[in-house]
Amino acid sequence: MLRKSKLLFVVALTLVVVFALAGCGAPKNEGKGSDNAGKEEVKQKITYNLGSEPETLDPGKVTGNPDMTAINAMMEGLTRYNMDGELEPAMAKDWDISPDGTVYTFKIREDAKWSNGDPVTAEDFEFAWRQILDPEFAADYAYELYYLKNAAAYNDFEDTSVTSPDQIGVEAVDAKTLEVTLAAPAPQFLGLTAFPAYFPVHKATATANPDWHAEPETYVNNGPFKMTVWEHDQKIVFEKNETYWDKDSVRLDELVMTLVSSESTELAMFETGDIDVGDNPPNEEMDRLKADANYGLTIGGDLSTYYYVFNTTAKPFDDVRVRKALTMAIDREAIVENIAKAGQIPAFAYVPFGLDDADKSKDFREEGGNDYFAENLEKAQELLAEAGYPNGEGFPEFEILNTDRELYLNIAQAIQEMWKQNLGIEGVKVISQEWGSYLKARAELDYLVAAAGWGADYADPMTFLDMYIKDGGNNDTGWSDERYDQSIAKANSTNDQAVRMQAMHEAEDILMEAMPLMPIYFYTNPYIMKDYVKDVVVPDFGPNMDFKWAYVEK
Amino acid sequence: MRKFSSALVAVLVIITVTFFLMHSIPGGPFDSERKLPNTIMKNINARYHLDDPLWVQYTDYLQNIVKGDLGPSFRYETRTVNDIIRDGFPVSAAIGAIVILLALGIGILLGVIAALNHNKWQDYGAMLIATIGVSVPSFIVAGLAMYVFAEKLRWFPPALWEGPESMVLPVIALAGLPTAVIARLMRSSMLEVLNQDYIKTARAKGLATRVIVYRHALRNAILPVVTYLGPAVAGIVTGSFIVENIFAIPGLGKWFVMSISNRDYPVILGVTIFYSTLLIFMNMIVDIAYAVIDPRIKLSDRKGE
Repeated sequence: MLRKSKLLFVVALTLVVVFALAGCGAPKNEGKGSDNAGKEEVKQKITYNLGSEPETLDPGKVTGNPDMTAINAMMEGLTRYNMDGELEPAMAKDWDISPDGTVYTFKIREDAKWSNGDPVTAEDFEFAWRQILDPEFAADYAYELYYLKNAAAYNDFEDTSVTSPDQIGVEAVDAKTLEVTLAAPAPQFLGLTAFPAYFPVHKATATANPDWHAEPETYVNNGPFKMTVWEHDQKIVFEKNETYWDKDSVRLDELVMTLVSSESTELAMFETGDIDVGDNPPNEEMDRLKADANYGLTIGGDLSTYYYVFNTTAKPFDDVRVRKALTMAIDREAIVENIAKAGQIPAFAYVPFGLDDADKSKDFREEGGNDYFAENLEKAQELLAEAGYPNGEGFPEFEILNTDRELYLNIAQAIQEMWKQNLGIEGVKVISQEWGSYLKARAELDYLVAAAGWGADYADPMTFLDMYIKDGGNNDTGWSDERYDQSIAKANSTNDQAVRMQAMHEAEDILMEAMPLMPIYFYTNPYIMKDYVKDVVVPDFGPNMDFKWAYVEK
Repeated sequence: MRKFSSALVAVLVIITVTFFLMHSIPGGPFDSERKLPNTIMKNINARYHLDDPLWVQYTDYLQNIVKGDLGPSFRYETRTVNDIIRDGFPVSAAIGAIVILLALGIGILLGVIAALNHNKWQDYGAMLIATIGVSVPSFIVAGLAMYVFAEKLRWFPPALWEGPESMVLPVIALAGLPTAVIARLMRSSMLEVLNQDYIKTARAKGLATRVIVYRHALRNAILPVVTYLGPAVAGIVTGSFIVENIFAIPGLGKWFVMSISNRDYPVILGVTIFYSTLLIFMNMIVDIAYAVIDPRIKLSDRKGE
């Protein structure tokens, strides 16, 4: 008797649990101001999906965009990009640059305060920069500070020529004066001071507790917002930072960043109103989102290029005619229209649009032209025949190496088909490898053709061009050219922007003439945003979004 | 005691195999498309002792495990593997427990109904449901559930972990498979039991079907389900990568997959050890449950009594 009732009991209990749970499912109305509320009552709160858990909130250890975006909400460097994307004084109220362009003297603003009330000092900067360069600190982005005198040598623990941090070109002259000495002139340096690797940290806090950045309770910061909650893999909650020097520009009371990694879930949350902003609209939904003008989809700019690299040390890709033929024989417009779908720009050059030339009113790409080559089938077939493969006959089989992202596999399949139709090259396979294996294959030249992408680290063409010097760490093509290296060296040794830009244009000419890489498109940054969200800044590189000036208007 | 020591050996073998396997896959925890200068790679490798010989890393690791320390995550530097398991497991286990209870209740019910009505419509109906449960993958159910219950009806939140209502959709997505498996197991073993002599005798004595099923048949028929439950429970309470990813549930499931693509060695080892220990433990529970259900089955290890 007992046993029989036991089973019944289990079944009954289960059903009770299910119904009890189902009963909890009342729709939530949190965070949605009622429609008839007056304008004054609108809650100044924005929920943005950051997309993944930041790996760290320590500005010195920052690696990816999620880290950068969250840290940028809480912290501020010497400079900050404003709403128009221009560099503005931030922690520094002004600065002097020596005539030869190697010594920068920054004056820290008097009213710059940490969230614990302490003034922000030049020592905080000196401490942070020295720490990131400390070999034992082992920071990924230490190389961003190699512009400083002796920084690279100090960061290398095997190089004994520089062992004291005092030898690095950063010094707190007094509490509010920071003197920075560069190894060589670098006009792009100023822009870098707006990035997390160059942010200050509160010296006393970081010295006492190396894990100060792990919890909201111990986090000391100097930017627009202050973190109040960090629920791992769920959300980070910020509120306005009352000690921020420019707090009058901050209109949000609360900023929530959700950490939802699934793109389709992000879209569902946008549709249910659980989030107001997201920047990962799924590729397969693009047509629907674009069709509805009121949906809230915007296509922003992005300083990144999508391209294929050739292994120029292997036959037949050691022949520039082959590389050019392949490059001329694909239809970029069709790829962008039918597969990528987010308004990407077909690329006929390597450096993307959106970077200033010597004359700041001009764009580097427009000056150099997006027309290093044309999609020309006749010319492509001619080149292929000259290289010894008329109509693709005898062309060896090869693989296009990809990661496992579906979008890029679809593009590779389209390109495979185009090469077959347009050049008669039959033996192309598309393979996908898991991320780690793919990176290793590329780095060791264990591939023939591989998909690649590159985004700007800072707002200057150099962030794209210095990759392809001989033995450059990210030059995965096996290609090098002495003239190219000379052009890059020339650009890196002068403070004269006209000379620099000229040298970089020349470098790009050489690169596109040799074509170790095949440009496909310049990326865009599609994002979704409710119409009541105003003044969110969406930079084309670095942090995904900056909410300093953002507000809600319903 | 013999059981315990053999379990320990099994875990040690698993640790060893996992350790050398994961170090043999190409790439490391700090690789990215932006290759770091050699100097910086050297600094990082020194900091995490990745430049030590492999066997030194291995013995160091074992020494830390004995202290109960699974080490830091390489990717999320302020979180330890102990933290990750302590935070994630309760979440996955809460969802998993409900899934298992549901699967047991509905699965046994369907199986018994099907067996008692062998080759009638009830049987076909129950087995059709079971077939659907086995063949529709959880992410399809998850997507559908999100669309219907979160986007259209607004009954439940689409994602995040904010209280009991956050459990409903993941449970719906996960319950189908175990329910279907249990229903099928129950049906076939019930059919077998119902054909045995003692049941026929009971029927001949004129006992009511209900009494026969509850008092005599069920007890024997449930053994295969118990066997299945051991590994199934271990798998379900440690979470599902796909479902937790879709509903943004901060469980343990995602770490099994993410840690491997991140090459986050300590996390790979930590979750593997955790899972295999749980699996071995569950199998022990199955052995004990067998002995309770059917006293003729002896526990091999009775020295402790």
